[in-house]
Amino acid sequence: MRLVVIEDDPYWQQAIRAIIEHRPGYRVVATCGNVVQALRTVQETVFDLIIVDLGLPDGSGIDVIRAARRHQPEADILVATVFADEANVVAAIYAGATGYLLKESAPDQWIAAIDELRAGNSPIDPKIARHILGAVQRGRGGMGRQPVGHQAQSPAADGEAADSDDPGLTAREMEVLQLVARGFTLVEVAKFLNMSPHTSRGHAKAIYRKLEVSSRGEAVFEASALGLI
Amino acid sequence: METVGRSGARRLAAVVGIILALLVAPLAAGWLTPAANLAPWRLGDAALTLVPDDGGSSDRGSLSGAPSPDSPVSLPDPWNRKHPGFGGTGHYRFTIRVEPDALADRALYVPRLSNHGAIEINGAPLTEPGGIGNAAWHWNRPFYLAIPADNLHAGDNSIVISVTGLANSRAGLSDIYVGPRELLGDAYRLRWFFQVDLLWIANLTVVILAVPLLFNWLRDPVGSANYGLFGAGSILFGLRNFHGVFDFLPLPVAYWWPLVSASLGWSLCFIFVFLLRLCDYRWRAFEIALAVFATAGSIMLFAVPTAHFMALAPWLWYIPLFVIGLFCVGAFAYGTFARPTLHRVVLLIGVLGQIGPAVHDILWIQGTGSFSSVLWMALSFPLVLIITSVLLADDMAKTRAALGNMNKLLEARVAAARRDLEAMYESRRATEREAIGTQERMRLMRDMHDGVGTRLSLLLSGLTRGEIAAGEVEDAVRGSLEELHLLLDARGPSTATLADALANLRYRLDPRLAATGVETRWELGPGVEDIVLSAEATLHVLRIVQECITNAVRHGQARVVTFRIERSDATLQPDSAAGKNPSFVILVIDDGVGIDKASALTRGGGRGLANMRARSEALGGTFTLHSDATGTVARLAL
Repeated sequence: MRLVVIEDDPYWQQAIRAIIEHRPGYRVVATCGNVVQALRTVQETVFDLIIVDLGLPDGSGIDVIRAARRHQPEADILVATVFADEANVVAAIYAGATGYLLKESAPDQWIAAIDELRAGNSPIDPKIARHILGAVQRGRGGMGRQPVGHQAQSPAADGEAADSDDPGLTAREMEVLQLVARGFTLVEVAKFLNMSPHTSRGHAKAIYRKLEVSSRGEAVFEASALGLI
Repeated sequence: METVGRSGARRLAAVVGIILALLVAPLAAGWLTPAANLAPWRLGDAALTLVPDDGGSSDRGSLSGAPSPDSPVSLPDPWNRKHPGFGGTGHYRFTIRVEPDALADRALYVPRLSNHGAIEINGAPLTEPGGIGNAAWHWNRPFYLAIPADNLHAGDNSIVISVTGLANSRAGLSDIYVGPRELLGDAYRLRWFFQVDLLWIANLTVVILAVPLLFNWLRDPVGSANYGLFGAGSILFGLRNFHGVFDFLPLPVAYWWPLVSASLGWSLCFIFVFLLRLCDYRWRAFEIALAVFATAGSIMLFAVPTAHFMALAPWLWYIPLFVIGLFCVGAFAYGTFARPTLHRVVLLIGVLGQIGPAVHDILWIQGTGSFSSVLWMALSFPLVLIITSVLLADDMAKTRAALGNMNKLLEARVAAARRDLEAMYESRRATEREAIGTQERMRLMRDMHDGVGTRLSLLLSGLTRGEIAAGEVEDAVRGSLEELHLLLDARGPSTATLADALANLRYRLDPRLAATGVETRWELGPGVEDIVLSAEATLHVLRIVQECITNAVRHGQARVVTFRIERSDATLQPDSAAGKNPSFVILVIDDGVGIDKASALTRGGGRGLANMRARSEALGGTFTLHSDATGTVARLAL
């Protein structure tokens, strides 16, 4: 599997490389330390998974994620963060990330996370779920009931956002988000909702995709970024 | 009024002036034109024979009872004055000379004839539809009859006008005119206009203009009492003046003239009080006296025997009224000079203009004045009313303007107040935000100092002294990171409730516990999701729970750890006392070996437990631990 690592800290570059290449079949095809380099790489290099650090010296990893999503839609995008703060993670999800991981995680957790991503499952936790729920409800509430913090978006963005702001999550997906938000694991969620754990795990990725699609309009991304970050 | 600018006053004066000019000009014009032309055709002397009513007429008066012989009389001939108490028919004989070429161009014009009459020319009755003899009652209208050429012959002709009148009914005959038809016709039409048409117009004007004044008063009986008085007086005046155009006698003479007289007095009394009050003269005693006078006078008018009414009424009623009126107008004039306002001055001009007509009319009523004359006051009074209406309209316009200004001022003040308030709120919000931010930062710093800081400094000191092994470094660093994660679990943009924070903690620990073969269970009781604690308290709870888990896994060798939050109060009221958290318990239950059997090596000497107790006390809660061989239940009650 071909991986690209976007990480400005040489130590973490090394550490991530070491963890990944430890596993047979995994190969790092490119490593970039800044946005400019990364944007060129995602256009020119073919890869299956890209690991992105959000805090880069010349900009935000979010831009890299969006470019990667556009040029290689089939590739998985994993955000590596020190603290999985929901605002940044959800912004990354809106841009097209399919997973996130704490950098401090043990090597086997890294491998497990990557395997899960390749299997079509995205991670989720209560903070992220609550954040997504908040954004979706704001979207569904319409412009009239948007909270103050959301009004920073331009009127033009409002017009487009009215429909596309609602990612169109199914009732089942909303239930999954709500249970996760309340602290239940995907396994428990599956039990509550009479589905297989495999199905419940798949829901997270479906939700990610819908969020990303719903944010295709640049304005909406700006709106959610403004609202979230 | 004092607040009105000079330009406003000038405009109002101009309006009043224009109205006066427009109203007075036609009167003046009408008065001046006909007199001179008519003089040659006037018949001012007649031979009169009075024939009293038959039957009961004999007891009416000294002059009645038998026809009086022909006697010369000069016209006008008001019976009240010249033949007091007479009722019957008076035959006025005239002889006129008609030139042969004028036979076909002669007409008879009678400015006033009361009550009704018949005309004979050379012994032949002269009748005409709508003419003199057709109605029972005329007293205030002119007559005009074209004399057919057949009835006249060249030389001297005899004309007899037989006037029939009730006793004491203002009967009589004015001077009369026989002359060219066109000239007399014009004079007649002009006279008709002033005596009949203009009276209608004036009366209607008075009534119509006074109605808004009355409504104005109705809307504000106390504040607009002045206008109410004036409106009442005016309406009464306008209505009673319609008696001048009646062609019938609505009541017997004994009641009709007292009624006509009394109503005039009342209307004037209202207006007198209005004038006084307009100058802020509120003489209560005088007003009451006026009311008493009006009432007593009215009663007397009705009580006076009809035979003496015409003689007594002026002295009992009209002249006292006139004197009172003069006094009130005088007071009004004095008040106006003492404290002039535009309204008072304008109204004074109008009122002073009424004195002439009033004198004229009283003289007419008393009989001294010319019987031929038109009554003036009914025509001149609308001037006062129009002026008053203009003043009222001016008042209203000023009030509206003042209200508008006041509104603008108030709106501006409200807007300013709102701005101030918003600014105040904004600054308060900013202060609060700042205070909250400062508090948050201080808590965060304390948390970091107590947790991560202590750990890191211990680690550093251990490393410096070379007392720490690599494994211990890893533990220490991991512990520090753990602290930071715990801080993030306890707070954050999407972490609002205690359940949120515990869910974060559970989710973060779950993979690690799962990796060591420990299963976690998560049980949320009803009504616990809305519990909100301060960030500080939340952190305490998370630390206690984390410590419990650590104990369960490390010391108790638990395989299943259950988190449970439930309400401890029996009744689950979802909305119990808004803002106040219900009491609740957090349970951490494990299936380990229990505290007693935990190996001595892994036991921390009870320091962990003491920590947890201290934390729960800081929270104002209680922490209890039940442990036996099948497991441990840690219970934090808040």
